[in-house]
Amino acid sequence: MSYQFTMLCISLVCAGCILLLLRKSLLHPLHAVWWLAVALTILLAGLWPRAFDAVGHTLGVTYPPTLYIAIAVVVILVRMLVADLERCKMMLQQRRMNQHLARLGLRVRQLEHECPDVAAARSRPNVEARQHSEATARQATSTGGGHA
Amino acid sequence: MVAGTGVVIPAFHEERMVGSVVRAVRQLGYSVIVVDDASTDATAAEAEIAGATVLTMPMRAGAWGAIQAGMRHALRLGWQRIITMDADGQHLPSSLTALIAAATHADVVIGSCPGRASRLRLWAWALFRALSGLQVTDITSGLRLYNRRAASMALRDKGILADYQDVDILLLLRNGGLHIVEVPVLMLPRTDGKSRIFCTWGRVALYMACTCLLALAGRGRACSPAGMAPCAGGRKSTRPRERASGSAA
Repeated sequence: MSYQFTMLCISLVCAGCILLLLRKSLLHPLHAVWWLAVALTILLAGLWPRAFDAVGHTLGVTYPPTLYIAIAVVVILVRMLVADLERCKMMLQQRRMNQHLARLGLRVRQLEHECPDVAAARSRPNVEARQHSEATARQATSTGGGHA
Repeated sequence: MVAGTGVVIPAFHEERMVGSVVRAVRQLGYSVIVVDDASTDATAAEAEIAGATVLTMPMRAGAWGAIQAGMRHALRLGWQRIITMDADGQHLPSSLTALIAAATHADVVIGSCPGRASRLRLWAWALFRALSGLQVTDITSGLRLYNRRAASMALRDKGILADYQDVDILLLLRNGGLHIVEVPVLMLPRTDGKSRIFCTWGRVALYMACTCLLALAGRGRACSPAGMAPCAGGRKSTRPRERASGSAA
């Protein structure tokens, strides 16, 4: 088995997993694009290792394979930083929603207090409420039946 | 009672004390909003019985998050000044008068009582002051008064991301050009004996690291406010323009 074939298998498995996660809606398309780019890079590096060696020599890296590791570490760190930025944004949104929900909860309680009917309907079990609404609908239909 | 001024009290598992604190504040004629920080005990019920408007957080937000929810509601109600105080009975309702008196020429008034702090805490506050350039003695005091402008500023994104109402918030307000003053007040010791935030040394270390970083990041970004009234003598001011002119003199 050649080195190129191994790298091809790794990149194909990566790409397959990403497409599967995207299909199951477990991965956002934006993130999927990033990870597919990673899979493609693995494939290119595997198929043309000499190209990376040339880049390494150009950049003054004595032992070119260390360039792979250096690039991988930097990319992972950048990705982690981006993930933290996104997490911070989500935290902000969650906190803002939490505060708004507290206010809305109070407003709902106040409205229930002002309209006892709403509170009574809310406290009734769902089945009973549905039966009540169905009975009301039936009554409305029979009342309006005179049109026929 | 001063019209347009009310009290916001964040409360988490304070069923024993919150009722008496609310009653004491209401006896002075202030409206009270208690923000129940997703307690599982009878905190909300006790506060409601005592006559407070109760906001219930759907999930734990911490004291500062709860205060912000209360501030949002208070601003919606049209309050001009919002006082925050603890639900555990540490802060005395009689201190509110001093805060309101100082608020005539300041955006934020801090009820200051450095005497309650341990030696280690005093050392931490000194470190935060040195790193941030803040001139506030009692950095972590929860007894504060915010006017509408200060409350609106504290509800910005940067304020929402803050975990505590200490260095981060004070820097946000100072760098926004607001006038912060301190007034000395009396505070009682905690009835349950220890802080819930700093319950382990690991949390203390994490808090110190985060706060030092925030203090350094926010240092020296102060901007001069336009059209602000000068600070009265005898009180410490963190107003950038005054400190600048004071050092130049």
